[in-house]
Amino acid sequence: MRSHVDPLTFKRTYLEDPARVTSLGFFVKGASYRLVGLIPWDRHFFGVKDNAPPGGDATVPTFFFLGADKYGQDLFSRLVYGSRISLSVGLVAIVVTFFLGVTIGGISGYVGGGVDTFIQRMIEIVNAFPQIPLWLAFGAVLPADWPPLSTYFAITLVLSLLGWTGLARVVRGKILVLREEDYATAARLLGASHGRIIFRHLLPGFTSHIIVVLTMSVPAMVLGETSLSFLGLGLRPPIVSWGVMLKDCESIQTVANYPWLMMPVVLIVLTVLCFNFLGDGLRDASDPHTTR
Amino acid sequence: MTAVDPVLSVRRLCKRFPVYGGGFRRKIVGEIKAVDDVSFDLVPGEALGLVGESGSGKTTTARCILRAMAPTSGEVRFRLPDGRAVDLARLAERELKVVRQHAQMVFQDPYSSLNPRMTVREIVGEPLVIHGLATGAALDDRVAEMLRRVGLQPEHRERYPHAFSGGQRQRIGIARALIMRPSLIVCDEATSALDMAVQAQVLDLLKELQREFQLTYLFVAHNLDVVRNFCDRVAVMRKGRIVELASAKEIFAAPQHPYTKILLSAVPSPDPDIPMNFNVGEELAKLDAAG
Amino acid sequence: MNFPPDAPLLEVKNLRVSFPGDAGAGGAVQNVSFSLARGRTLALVGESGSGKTVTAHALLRLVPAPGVIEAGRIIFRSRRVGEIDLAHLDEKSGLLFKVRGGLMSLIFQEPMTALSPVHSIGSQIDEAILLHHDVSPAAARRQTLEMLNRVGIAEAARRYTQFPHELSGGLRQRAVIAMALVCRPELLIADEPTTALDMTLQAQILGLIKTLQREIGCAVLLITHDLGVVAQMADDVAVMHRGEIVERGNVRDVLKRPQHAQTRALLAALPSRRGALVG
Repeated sequence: MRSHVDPLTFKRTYLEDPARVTSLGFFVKGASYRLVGLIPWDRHFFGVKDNAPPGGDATVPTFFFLGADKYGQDLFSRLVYGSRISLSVGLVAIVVTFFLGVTIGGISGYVGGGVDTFIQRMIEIVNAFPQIPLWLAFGAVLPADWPPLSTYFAITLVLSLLGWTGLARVVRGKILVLREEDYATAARLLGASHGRIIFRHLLPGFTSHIIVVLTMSVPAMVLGETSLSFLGLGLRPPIVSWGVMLKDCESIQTVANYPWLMMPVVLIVLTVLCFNFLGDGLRDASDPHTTR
Repeated sequence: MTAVDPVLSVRRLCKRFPVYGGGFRRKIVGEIKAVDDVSFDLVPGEALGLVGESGSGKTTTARCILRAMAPTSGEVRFRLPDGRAVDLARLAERELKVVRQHAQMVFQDPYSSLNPRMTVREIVGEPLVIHGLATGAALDDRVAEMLRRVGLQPEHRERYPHAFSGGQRQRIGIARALIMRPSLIVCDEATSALDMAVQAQVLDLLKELQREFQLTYLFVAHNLDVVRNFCDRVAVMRKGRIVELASAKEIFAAPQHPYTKILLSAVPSPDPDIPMNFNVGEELAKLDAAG
Repeated sequence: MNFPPDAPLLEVKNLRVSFPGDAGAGGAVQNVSFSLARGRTLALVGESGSGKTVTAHALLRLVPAPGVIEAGRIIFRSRRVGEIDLAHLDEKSGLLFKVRGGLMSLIFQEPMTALSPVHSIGSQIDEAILLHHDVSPAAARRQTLEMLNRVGIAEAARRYTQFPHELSGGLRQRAVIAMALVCRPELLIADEPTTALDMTLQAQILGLIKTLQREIGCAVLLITHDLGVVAQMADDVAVMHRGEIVERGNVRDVLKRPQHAQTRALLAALPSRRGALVG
């Protein structure tokens, strides 16, 4: 392509040059790297074939599959890199949610009485906080000079700190019911310890529910990370995540002129849909072992 | 008649439940005496029936005895096989665990008394695991043997409870209760949820096991007919108190307490020419009024 | 009405119900025939799995999918709507809805599942009335209160607004009976109505059913596994085994002079009969 600036309106237009053909191919030779971090290799999955076009510059032309951002970085590559962060934030966050939710909800349901009342009131207080402003507050508190990895874990912690209450409520409800079942009483009369009763007898009764609740929480975590990074208070460059990439789309001018910068939105929507469908499917498939 | 040391001595057992008033604050407005001053002895090798309507306190008594719930007051002296006597009502949790090997319960509902997510082998073997009595192959052998003894096929021990019928599940429950060779078994309406034919088989099994393992039974039931042939003595409970305690023969041939008489008259006889008493409600009300 | 006055109220002929996909031989109910005269009580006895509940449900076309009535006729001679074959009625026909609750009612074993936990007792009984009679809600309420009294629920006005969980098991079963009988059906099907109750409650509920039967003049089809209940309540009895009726007749004849092995087995299983066998 060749760009041409109109001398009167200063409008920049791009003209195609059909004579110059850039051939693409799979498994082309490119810059060397290490496959799975170990094996040195230089074949790329797809890219520009090594034959230089006639005329013009002698360098190998670059090919931007989905376009480039304002620094000339390939959008597609950044999307792939960013997915590592964006997806794993969600997954790491639900691990923390799982531990917090099951422990606190389990204690609340199993012990009952005053402990239960106290924990439930605490959950209600936590739930009453408006989520995004609280996330923003936590995000803003994070020092700007922290190494990227620490920021990453801090963000996941922040996301799960507000997310565990839903799981805790579900766990508590289930334990309250299952605790009264005859087989739980039978286990107690056999001399089983509280731990054994909870983990061997009560918990398996709703593992499927927990899995479903957790799967459905992942989209919320992904969106949370995206929102925080978009607002500049979560992950920051040089870390690449979809939220960080969306930060470039802050002004309407940018979006109007360079709409391909909004590609992360498509991936986020796809991810959220996928996890929702997965959760739905798991919920349908989780057939509780019926007793009758 | 030589005096034999009772295996279980219940003295003045009481269990009260608080009643909460309505409104925002949970105020205690009164209490229900579910078990009110109950005392009886269990002679080794006997089957004592505990009968009454629902709400009479019989199940609560049984559960208090085995400490499934803590009694409000009273004494439950249990004689262990080595001769020592312990008060189950007052034992701390840790000491209670050891005693549990010697006293077990068979539950009423065959569907909810077995964990649906454990195989039969795990269910019946769990007591041995909890108390560290056997592991590995030895554990498996004992489970298989116990299943055979209660009339089930040991090959089925890898199956889950839902693959079995109600009567078979009750047998699994019995196997679980007996695998530690306890001396006392409390049957909490163990046959009430089964239909007649299966009930008969399970009762036969319990009788055989009593002879073989020298068990003492506390048999809670609401069906007097079942109790008549299964138990040696019968205690009739009403509103938390024992109103009559006598041998099974005497209770059925010559009941003393008016409540026992009403209870007996309410049992439908399979002989159409012996009519049952449909007026039970009024007669019970009259009994209440009389004080 | 176009049928003779002494024709049986209910005539079941060669009824066959099966559940496709069931590995068992034959269907759940095979070739069952019996008849029930007006005002009489017929007991259907058998072990669990003998098909007695499926038969009862088939009469009201309540067999759960994928079960299906494969063959047979269920002739119901109602004095109000005439002679109908319930087996061949279209599922969506208005006549079936008229029959259910209005002409033929069902009492279940577990009152808690028969009553909606989110509606008051009174409103549920009202609903039964309003579905079958064209009366005002106020009139329905009056009938409900009267019915609550008839079934022995004291303080009817207070109980009217209560929910099922506020009532004891015995009262709940009475409420279910009220709901079933408030429209004065011609046939009452009682599916193990007292199996979940203790002895004294059982006696009261059975007495109630007997009294109301006399007052309303309905016939009763009683499903049970308890031969004592059969002896005390039924005029005739049919013994079911593996989906077939193996013996039927007058209750005295069948219980005192049983012919079929299955009947004898049921009698032998009675706790009171086994005193001689148990040491």
